[in-house]
Amino acid sequence: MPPDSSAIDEAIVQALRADTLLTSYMPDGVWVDEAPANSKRFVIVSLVEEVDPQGFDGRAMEDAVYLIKAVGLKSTNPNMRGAAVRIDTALNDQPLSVSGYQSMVIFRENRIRTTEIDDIDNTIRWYHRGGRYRVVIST
Amino acid sequence: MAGRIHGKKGQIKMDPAGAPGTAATAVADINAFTIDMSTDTVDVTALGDTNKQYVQGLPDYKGTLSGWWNSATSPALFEVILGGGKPWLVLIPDTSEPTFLFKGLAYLSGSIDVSATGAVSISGDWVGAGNWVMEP
Repeated sequence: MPPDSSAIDEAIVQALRADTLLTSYMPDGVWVDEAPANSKRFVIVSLVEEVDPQGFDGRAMEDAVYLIKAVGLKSTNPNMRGAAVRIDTALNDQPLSVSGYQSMVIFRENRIRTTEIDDIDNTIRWYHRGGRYRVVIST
Repeated sequence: MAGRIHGKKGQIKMDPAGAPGTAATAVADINAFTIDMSTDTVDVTALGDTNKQYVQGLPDYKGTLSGWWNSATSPALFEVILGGGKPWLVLIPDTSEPTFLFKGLAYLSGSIDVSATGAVSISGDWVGAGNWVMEP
């Protein structure tokens, strides 16, 4: 039976939640895909793409790219720079232990920094900062 | 279960000692192999022929293999490659039909491909070191 791939997502989320500096900068938490309503400073983890290289003996590894970014409402004066540093510190080249898997590498492929203008009220600004992280883990 | 098949259930078995029989075991972390059975031909065209003509020689038996480096399994394969012996190979296109296979003694060579942006992979070539057979 192949290992549970969702455990990889969970390991990333837990690694970010364990970083107390990051959670102090982004007190509304670390979430997969979307944060709860009314969140103003939070971290989002999204699976962007994934492939499973094969061997004759089955799935050899899982190769995934995650978009991992801090999102902050401008009016809350979020520490976006600090949050991006903490995301990178928590993940880049760090060993993540995932049940059912063997060796793993995680590294940033490129960084993200954008400002989003609210569609309805264009005085509202959301900051996004982080990166796309590649995770390759063998089964 | 005759029919067209996918290659995901292929398999290479090997006995490093080169003994034909049941001692061969599956080589782990392999994801592809090829078998080249191209046959030599010699041009024997003569004056008056209306097209080129050939006579046929022997078929070759050689090929390639590739896979993923795994520190738990790959060193054993490379010990065979570097050992210079003649391992017994069994190449099975589909383990769902394990009686359809190609087998014989071979010489192996290999290489490792390491890149900062991808998984470490291995590859190699094999050539027949004895008479090969196809079964059944």
